[in-house]
Amino acid sequence: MIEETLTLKNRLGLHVRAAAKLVQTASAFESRVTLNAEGSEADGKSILGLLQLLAGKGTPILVRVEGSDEGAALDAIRTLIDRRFDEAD
Amino acid sequence: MKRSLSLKGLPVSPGVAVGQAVLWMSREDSSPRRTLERDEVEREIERLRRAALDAVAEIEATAEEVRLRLGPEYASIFMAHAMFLKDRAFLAPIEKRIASDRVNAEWAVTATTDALTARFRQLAHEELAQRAADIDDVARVLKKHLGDDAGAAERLAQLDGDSIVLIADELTPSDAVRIPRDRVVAFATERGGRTSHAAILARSFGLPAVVAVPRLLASIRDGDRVIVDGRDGVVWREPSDDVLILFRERVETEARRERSLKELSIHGITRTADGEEVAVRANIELASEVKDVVEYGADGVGLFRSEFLYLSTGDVEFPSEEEQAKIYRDVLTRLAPRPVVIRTYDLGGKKGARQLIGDEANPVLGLRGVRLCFKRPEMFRTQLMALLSAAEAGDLRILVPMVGSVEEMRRVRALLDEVRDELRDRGQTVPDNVPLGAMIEVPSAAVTADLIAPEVDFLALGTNDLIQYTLAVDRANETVSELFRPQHPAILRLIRMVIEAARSAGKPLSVCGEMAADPLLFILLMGMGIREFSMGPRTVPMMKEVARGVALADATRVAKAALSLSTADEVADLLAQELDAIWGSARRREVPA
Repeated sequence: MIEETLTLKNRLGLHVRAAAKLVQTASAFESRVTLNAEGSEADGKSILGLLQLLAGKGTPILVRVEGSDEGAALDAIRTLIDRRFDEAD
Repeated sequence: MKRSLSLKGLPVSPGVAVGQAVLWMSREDSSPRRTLERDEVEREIERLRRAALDAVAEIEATAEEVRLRLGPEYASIFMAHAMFLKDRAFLAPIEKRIASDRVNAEWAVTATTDALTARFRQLAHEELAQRAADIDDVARVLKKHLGDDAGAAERLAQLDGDSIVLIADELTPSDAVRIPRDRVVAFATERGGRTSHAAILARSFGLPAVVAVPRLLASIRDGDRVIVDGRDGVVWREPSDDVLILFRERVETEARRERSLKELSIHGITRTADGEEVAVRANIELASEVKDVVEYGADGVGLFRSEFLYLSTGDVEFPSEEEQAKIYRDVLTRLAPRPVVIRTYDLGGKKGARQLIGDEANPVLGLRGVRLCFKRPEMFRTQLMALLSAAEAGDLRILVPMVGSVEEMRRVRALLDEVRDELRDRGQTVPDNVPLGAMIEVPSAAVTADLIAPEVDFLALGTNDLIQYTLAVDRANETVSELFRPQHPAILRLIRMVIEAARSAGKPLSVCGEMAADPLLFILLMGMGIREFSMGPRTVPMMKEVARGVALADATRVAKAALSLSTADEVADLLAQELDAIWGSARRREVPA
């Protein structure tokens, strides 16, 4: 199991489209992905779960990945968040 | 009979239509609670799962259609909706409610999603409310597949007649693409704005539409006779016979004129009565409007407002380089060999992007157009990469908005060269000479047009902003809007300076503001020396007809007289007086001696 704290940099935080991209990314891996924001926890492969985190810009998120491809999965999620979900800002 | 009533809203798509009202509520509450027998529970859960699978299939098909017809930027929200319906965290609580409360699936969907959205709506935050709207949309699709379809879709299907005026609180993306275009003649909504999905789709479908009409739903009932006037932004309920006759005439006249103008415009090059060639191009906001460009016989695209690629995502997300390149390539290929002028993002000012820029005390004098591009180098760079990648597909010309100085154009040129090298390093072929032009819409650029012209490949006059900035008048401000006069001597002098600058530098110059779409001003501009015009696709045939009916010699004479006058009123009067004479003389010339 590996984990890392990442910070949301895009303006809208985990809004519907960003959450969809995260689900898409996480679902490409076999590992279990869990996100923890300010005490709430959500399955990284559930769009509803991610939305319910109500995570806005600047929220630190603890990403926990567990499984055979955990390294690659965490890399992919970090890249997506660092790239601000390919949004305007 | 109901009293006649007129309601005012925001006109977002021109034209006028008369029809029978059909109300469409985006939140239809029509799923009564039914208590299940104990042995029905399992079957009900199975029914829910099957409906979810069907709904996913439908949403993914819609997404695909939207991607093909309108581009990928519209499709992403549908993919997110499909994800909900595959998400156990979304479905499990609904199943649980069916089992524990022994209720029908429709009721369980409503109860569960209402509880969910209430939580988002309580937070009273605009962005979070949007999440609630998305969940509502998903719930609606799901209920539709459960057969709970006593809502608007069914009423649309059952209604007799073929002239439906859709009256809605608002149209979500999934509603808007489902509008049955063969039977709906217009729509009006209580909410929405000029850049909302529904408004953009209405323009691209050619449906008259008025949005942001206060008290619309409280005023109109199903079956009411309604007129939607998309030009003046008026919705009439149960119009009196006099009003109705007047509008019916307008509908017929517009249809007739459109038919005959369309036929006129198709044939080849447009020449004035004395043989001077004139190019009449189209302004577009979406790739889907290319068919209008062709249908209305425009000589290419004079202004592709690329910022709508971003605004149509709801001010959220820029399309990637690949997505943009695909759209540009598609437009260029379909219109080749006609030229396509793509204007780089003109965001800021009053045009959306408040989210992108933040609050400004005076946005019209703030971070907009090319200024924003320099502040967001990655956004701009990505667009230039996409443009140059697509350049080989046709006759691409790149236009830069809100240029105020020579330095800005030099900076863009340097960036474009850098991007070209980078693409070539990647192994792509990029043409050497993709024309780069400056939009002249700020007085500083108009006054220094002679300095800018030698540094660019072409110039384009944006008259709307040029008038606003020169006369210091916001046309949307009712208290001063009558001071917004294209005929003002200051405007005519500035345009004359720009024409002279372009001519002595040997650079092409076009006009793509609304001035180009007014017949009298079109003739004036032609007389001053303009030969390239750009306007909404539907106006193209009319202006081609105007150009054909006028002799350049007459237009030149009128322009010279207009430039010697002291007031906007005098210029307007002169143009009105001269028009009859000009047309008569051109008609006489057509008759062979």
